[in-house]
Amino acid sequence: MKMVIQALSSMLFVMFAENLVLSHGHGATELIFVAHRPKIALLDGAVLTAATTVCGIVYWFFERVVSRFEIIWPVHALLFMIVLAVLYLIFVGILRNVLTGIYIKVSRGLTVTLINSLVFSVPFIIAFEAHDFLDSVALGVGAGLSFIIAAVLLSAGQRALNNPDVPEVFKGLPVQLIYMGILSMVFYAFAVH
Amino acid sequence: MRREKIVSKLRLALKLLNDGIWRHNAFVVHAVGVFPLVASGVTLKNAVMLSAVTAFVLVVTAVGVSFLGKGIARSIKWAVCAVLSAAAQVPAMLLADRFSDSTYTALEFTLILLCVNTLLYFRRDMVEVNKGPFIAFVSAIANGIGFAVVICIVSLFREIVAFGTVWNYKIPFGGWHHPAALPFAGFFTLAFLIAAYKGVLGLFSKPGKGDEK
Repeated sequence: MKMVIQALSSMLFVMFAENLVLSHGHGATELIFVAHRPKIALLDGAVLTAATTVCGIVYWFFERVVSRFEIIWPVHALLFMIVLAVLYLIFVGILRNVLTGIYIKVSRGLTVTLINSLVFSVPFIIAFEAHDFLDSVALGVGAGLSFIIAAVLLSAGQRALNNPDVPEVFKGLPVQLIYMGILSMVFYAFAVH
Repeated sequence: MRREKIVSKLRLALKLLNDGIWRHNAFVVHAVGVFPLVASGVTLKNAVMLSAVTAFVLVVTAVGVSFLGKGIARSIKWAVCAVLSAAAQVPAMLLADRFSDSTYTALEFTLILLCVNTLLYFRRDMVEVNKGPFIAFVSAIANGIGFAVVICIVSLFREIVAFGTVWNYKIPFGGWHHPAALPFAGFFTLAFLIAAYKGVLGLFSKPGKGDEK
């Protein structure tokens, strides 16, 4: 029971107290990319959550094997990148051959969804925060859900961002970044207090 | 015939330099690499180190992938890109560790994450990578400089406002708002920089020929 509560609190931590996307900027490029395609934002988020969860699970076992050897951090990261590249190919293969309907919808931005700084931030968080296997799975799921929360918030504000009163030079990307900055400030205040 | 080929390649190289640094700077036009800009673009020293590493990683990855040929599936090219960029970062990180102890801690985590972000630029630049090593090299250099310009401006501004320093040297003004070093200030600074870029670009563009997305 204690482990489950610990896992849940870890998940909530990366979703709200330290929202990885808005508090730290992980996956911000992907978020902006998704904002231009609001119809499939949730589907993109679901694929990303699957990627971060699998990444969390794989990293847990990867760490158990690699920690037996004395490897410097850059090489450690390189080895995990190789694992991540293989996972990416497996993901693309499964989506293309098994979940074809989803693949057609998300294929345009699939690489950005599966290889981005949010997915790659999961091992770092697990290295510092995870206490056990369940915890690392929860952190993986939480990382993906933090993206979905950010995507929903950004989509919700999209209508206000298209306001004609916004000065010409601020239309598009700048006003979107300002909105993300305000959301980031909210999450920062949430984390501090 | 051969001279014409060289001239056309040089023309393309100049166009790529102009696009990467100014006209279609991926970091301000497509918001590529927002994470390193927001999280690590806090001091000029960090920015210069990040820029050097980015340029190195981009060149190694772009030239490496350009040797793969056109017949290979896009997804495999992406996987190779990811591994190549992480491999290129190993010496870059060791070098950063040797020459700059103070920045290494800040860079430690962002360097590897950055490589993934820089990869994203290849999403649109795969075309240039397919045109051979020389064009891939020029494109990577152009985008490296483009990133350097953006992150250095953002970092310089945030360093002055947050700490009242430039390259860690105290200056007679600045140091007003410490939160300028926090990620949310990074979003704001980048937003204003992009708005300024659009404004300046608008001055030089002919009416109706904007580069808006």
